Order: sequence, then C-alpha cells, then structure tokens
Amino acid sequence: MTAPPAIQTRSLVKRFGKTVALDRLDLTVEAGLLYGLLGPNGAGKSTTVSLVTGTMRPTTGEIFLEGRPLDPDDPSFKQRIGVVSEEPPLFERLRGAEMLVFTGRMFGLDPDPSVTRAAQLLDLLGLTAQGQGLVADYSRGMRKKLAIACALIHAPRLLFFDEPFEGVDALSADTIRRVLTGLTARGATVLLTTHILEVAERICDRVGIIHRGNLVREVSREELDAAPGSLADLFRRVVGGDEPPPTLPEWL
Amino acid sequence: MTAPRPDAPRFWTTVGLMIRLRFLLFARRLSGRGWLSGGLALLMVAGLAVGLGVGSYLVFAAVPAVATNRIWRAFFLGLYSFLIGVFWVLWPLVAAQVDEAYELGRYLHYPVRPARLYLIQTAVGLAEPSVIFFYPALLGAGLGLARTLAPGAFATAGLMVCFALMNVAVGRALLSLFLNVMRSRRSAEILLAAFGGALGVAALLPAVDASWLFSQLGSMATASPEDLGEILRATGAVTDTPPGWLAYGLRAAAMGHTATAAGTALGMITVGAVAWLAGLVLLKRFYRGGRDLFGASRTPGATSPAPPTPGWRLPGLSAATSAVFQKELRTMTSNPKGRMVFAVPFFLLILLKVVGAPQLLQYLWGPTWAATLVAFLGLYVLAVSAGQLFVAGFGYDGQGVRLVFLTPAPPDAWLRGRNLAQATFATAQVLGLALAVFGLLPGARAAGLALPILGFPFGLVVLLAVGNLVAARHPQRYHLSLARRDRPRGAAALAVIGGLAVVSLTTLGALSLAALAGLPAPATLAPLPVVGALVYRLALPLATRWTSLRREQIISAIARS
Repeated sequence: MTAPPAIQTRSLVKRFGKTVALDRLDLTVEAGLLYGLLGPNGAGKSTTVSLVTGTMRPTTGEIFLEGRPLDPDDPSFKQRIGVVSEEPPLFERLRGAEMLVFTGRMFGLDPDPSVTRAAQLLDLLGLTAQGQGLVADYSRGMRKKLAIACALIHAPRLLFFDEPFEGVDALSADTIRRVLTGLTARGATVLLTTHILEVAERICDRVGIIHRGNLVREVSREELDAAPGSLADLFRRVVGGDEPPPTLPEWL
Repeated sequence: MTAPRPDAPRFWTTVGLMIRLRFLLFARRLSGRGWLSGGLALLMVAGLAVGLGVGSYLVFAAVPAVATNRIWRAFFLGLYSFLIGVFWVLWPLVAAQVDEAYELGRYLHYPVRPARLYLIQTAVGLAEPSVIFFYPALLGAGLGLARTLAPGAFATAGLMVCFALMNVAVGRALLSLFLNVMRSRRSAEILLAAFGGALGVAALLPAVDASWLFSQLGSMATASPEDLGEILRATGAVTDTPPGWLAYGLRAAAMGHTATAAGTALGMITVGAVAWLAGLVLLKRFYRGGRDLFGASRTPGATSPAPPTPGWRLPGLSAATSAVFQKELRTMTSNPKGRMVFAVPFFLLILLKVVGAPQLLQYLWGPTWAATLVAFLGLYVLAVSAGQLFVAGFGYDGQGVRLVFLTPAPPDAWLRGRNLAQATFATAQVLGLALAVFGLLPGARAAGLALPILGFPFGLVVLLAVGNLVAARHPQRYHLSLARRDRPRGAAALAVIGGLAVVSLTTLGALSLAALAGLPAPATLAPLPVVGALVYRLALPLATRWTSLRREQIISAIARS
C-alpha cells in the first residue's frame, strides 16, 4: 500500500469578492519532498499556503494532508504542521528565547524540553547571541530565522515556508537552505514558496509554477538536473515573460 | 523527523501560558526602555484605581442620604452599575486597538481550538490591565453597601463576577464587530452610514429630562414624595438594562429574594455567553478571510482601478510640502485606525445625548456648559491626536520613511506638510464635534465659546511642535491596522502628558487672569494662538535638525520590519 500524498488539493478555489485568487488548483506533493512553489506576484502562492495551513477557508474545493481532509480547527492537525508565514506573527515584546519556549509550551512540550529545544534551535539558526534580545529589536532576517525555529520546535512532519528568503542576507539564506534540505533528509515534507528561482532550482526536489491561480507547470529534479539554469527560461515562458519588453517613454 | 511530537497542551496549561504571556507583555510595555517611567506609570495607575475604590466606598457608606435613604441608595446603585457596565463594554472600542496578545491571528498555528483559545482569552481579559480599574470601584461599592444594604458577601461576589464576565464578553464582541467593519472595503461608507443613522436617531430622540434630579442633589435627604417617585421610576429604567442588572440583583439579594438574584446572575451569564459566541464567529471570520459581512472583502494585492489623481498645490507652500500634505491627509483618512480615531468621540457624544447628560453638565458647569464640553472634547482630540499621530511622526510610513531622506525636499518641508495635514484632520474633527454638540444636545448655548475657539488652536500648534521633537528623538513604528495596538512609549508618552498639562494650565491661567482683572475671557485667551504659533516656529528648526541628524535611528526604528 502506497503512502498518501503529504499535501493534496482538489479543485481548490479562493475568491476575494470578484477577484479569483485560486482557480481550481490541483496540487499534489508527495511525502518527503522539498516542493518549491513559484509564481509571479499575485499568482496565488501565499493564498495556497494560507489555505493548506488552515488560516484561510477555501471558497470551494478540498484539501488533504497526509490523506486526511483538512480540519483547520483540529489541534492534532496543527500538531503535525509547522508554518513560517511571510510576515511571522511574533510577539514583539518577548525575547527570542521566550518566544520559542512559549511556542513549545503552546504545542504541548513540557518546560524543560521547551527550553532545551529552544537553545538548540537558536544555535542551529545562529541566533544564540540574540536569544535574550527583544523580538522588536530583531532585523528582518533574524525574525525569519526565529519564525523558522518556532515552526520546528514541535518537530512537525509537514512544513510550510512562505517566502523564507525574502529580505534575508546571504549568510542567513544559506543557513535556511541547509535547514530545509536537512529537514527533508530526515523525512519531513516541505512546501516552499519563493521568488528566487536559483534557490528553487538548487534545492527543490520538485517545482510547481503557479500563474493566475492555476498550477501551469511542474518540473522534476531530474528535469532540472538535465538542463541546469533552464528554470528561469521556463518560468518566463510559462508566465508570459516572452512578451516584448515595454517601450520607455521618450523623456526617460 | 525522529523526535517525538508532543500531545496538544491541556486546558489549564494554555490558561497558565496565556496569563504569563499577558503579564510579560504588560511588564515590558510598562517598562518600555526604562524602569523609571514604567514605575511612575504604574504608581499613577495604582493611585487612580485606589482612589476609585475609596470614592466608591465613601459614596455608599458615608454620603448620608445614600446611606440612610433606600430610594436614593437604589438610584445611585443603579446608576453606578450602569455607568461601570457601559464604560467597561466600550473601553476596548475607546482604546481603539487590539493588543498583540489578543490577536487571534497570532495563535492560528497553535494546536488549540479557536473556541477554547477565545474562551481562555476572554477569561484572561478579566485581568487585563485596563479593566483592573473597575475592580477597586466594584470592591469599594460592595464594601460600602455591606454597611447599609447587606446583600451578603456570597451573593455580592457572585453577582459581581457574573457582571464582570458579561462586560468582558460583550466588550470583546463589540470589538470583533468593529474589526469586521474596518476590514471591509466599504468601511468608510459603513461608518458614514452608522454616523448618519446614529446622529439622526439621536437628533430625533426626545431629550431625557433629568433636571428634576439635579435640582434635588443639594437636598437629597428632604426630597418630596413626588420626587422620590420620579427617582424610583428612573432607577427602574436603569436597572432594566443589562449594565444595570448588577444593581437589580444586589437589591434583590439584600431583600432576601434569592431566586430573583440568581435569575439576574443567570441573565448576565446568558448575555455574556451569547456575546461570546457572536464574538467568536466574528473573530474567526476576521482572521480567516471569510466572506465580508458587508460585501466584498479586501483582496490581498488587489489594486484600485481608479487612475492616480493629479494632486494640488497649496497657495504659499512649496510643491513638496503640498505633496506631503496631500499624502498625509490621505493616509489619515483612508485607513481603519484614522477613521476609528475620528469616529469614537462622535459615538460618545451620541451616548451623552441618549443618557440625558446635558442636564448633568448644566448642573455642574452652569450656562457655559456647551462651550466647556466642546473645550473638553478638544482636549480629548488633542490627547488622542498627539498620542496616535503627532508623536508617531513618520512612524506610519514603514519602509516609506526612507523617502524622507532620499528626495531632494528638505526635512522641514516634510514636517510642515505633515503638520498641516494633522492640523486639518484634528480641526475637522473638533469642528464636527462642536457642530454635533450644538445640533444634538438640547439647550446648548454659544456662551463661553471663546474658550474652545482660542484654546484649541493654541493646544494644537504646541502639541504639533512637541510631536515633531518627540518623533525625531524617540522614533517608533506605528501600524495602520486596527489589529495592532500602538502606544507612545516611555518618554514620548510623558512628553504628550506634559504638553497637554502645559496647554491646559496655560489656558486655565489665562481664564483666571481674565476673571481676576475683570476682563472678558477672549481678552486673555486671544494671544494664546499667537504664542502657540511662536512656539511652533521656534521648535521647527530644532525638529528639522534633529530629524536630519538622527536619520539613522529614525530609519532603523521605523523601516526595520
């Protein structure tokens, strides 16, 4: 018997008033993969993550995580996932270490393991020196890394990273890349959205390109390896970047 | 992953975590960047709370007419219960924002059902710092009553707990409704319609004639039977409403009507439960992006199809200052927080009309009560504007603050444009309030209007000057979203309080001087706006210099996230 896909959506639709953000999205992510979801701004990447993590409700359609229909209010579902949203919901006036321990406790960890795991995660993400600083004083990159630590503290099997490299310096990005690949090496499934095609091409096992709320193309690791550097061309072709460049006004 | 995943936390673990989180965040907010200002603020809060408690005790235990006459006692108890209930429920709205610890959105990823989380947060809301004011008042009243009415300690405690639960639940439900309104793409139209509706209804309502009551206050012990009958009817009217149920229950308990008291307690719990459920539904809708209650929701990334407007240039001002003015004015009027800051005092005014406050104000302030009320509303507008707008400086601009230092326009053009927009916003608000006072409240006369007409511009320009200096010295990120609570921190808060105190004392000093010299009030008030303008003119170069010199700190504080 084969394992069910880690993430599956069927005819997923999300409308905001008259705007259709997702239009019958069918997405399947097999267990143990690092799946990169790419797309231009407004394509529906973040909406997809919000829907599959239960922070938004779909207009119509179905979502399955590890073969079970998604119940966003079910604590056991939340226990299985870790989420890093584009704007991490951190408490500004907590210290980094306090934020992590609080998160661990909210996920049911006892105090001692929470403290131990918090210290290990701060170390893993290079935040040990800033652990006693207020979140309000953190830079964007530090916040991202703290949010990643918060998403990992309860050892989830399914991880969702919405633009983890946005506004992050090269060293931090490198740390995050290593954490992501390390997680999938341990058997976790990671769904990652990003604008940075080079990163997706380098680390993802499979890449999906979403455009105007639809999954328009998927690329496997083998295809990426067969033609290095081809993802950017494919992306432009698929989302309409082949159109002629705009003509500059005369005064410019 | 190989590490064992824990089970979801138990109910009491979550309660403990939430309480600890609240207190941690409260302590950090209080301390800000220094413990001295935090300690002073704590002392001030504690002093006010104790004062309320002692005052409440004295009203019920030591005022002879209240202590000895059961009708007056019942009336004051009813009024007391009603006022505390109304303020408790309205407080989250008046505070105009949601504390970060209350944002359900921050907990959506945790393995706790939203209903349980909301229940815990409502319960923790009983110990919210702002509502802690009400407990000494309730305790003082309870102890005062124990000397005269004697409803019994158990019944008193039980009824007060039910009262507190009802108020917290209703307050949070109202806030949830407001958040939904503000999220709506049509929030401006909804607010305008609510305004129009409420103002219309308030204008049509017959005036509540409470003059008989205030004429009796000086001779409560010797009131005639007819007057006492009127007081009884008023007591009945007040205690028939949910905020007055506490008084009804306490009186029933004192008279030995246990079943009636228990029924009242049950009634309060029922109202609280219904409000709690409504609040939960509304909050889930707010955070999960459900269908807008009032039509189309805001769409992430959606843009307005309207073409950009060409803008205008104000006479006598540079293009840059005019552009900043236009941008700032648009920022203030087109965001939920600005609209809420603008709307709240109008609703308070409607409430004053509904409860028949003009007679009380006339009793307290005499024939110039309307002008005095406008002056107090002006002070309120100044306090809120200074705390939320003036000292925020470029705080609402986020990454946009970099533009201040990237464009060729000098910083003073930015400051002038911003101040002009802030002054326009606050003046429009206070003019609207003045019109509402004279249009809505019966018996309002123009006598004494020199006080607000000359006092407000003085306070406005002085506080704008204070705001410019504070914004440069203590830059802070502010948020346009109602889902974020922003308060000026430490020194900035003290500067606002200090500025308001100086403005108030100077105005009162000018009034006293006029009285002493036998001059009409305008004679001493008239120079104030000129003095204010001078203060602003002198402070502007310093604020400009500080803004320029401290660009690194300003950008770091505001554009960081």
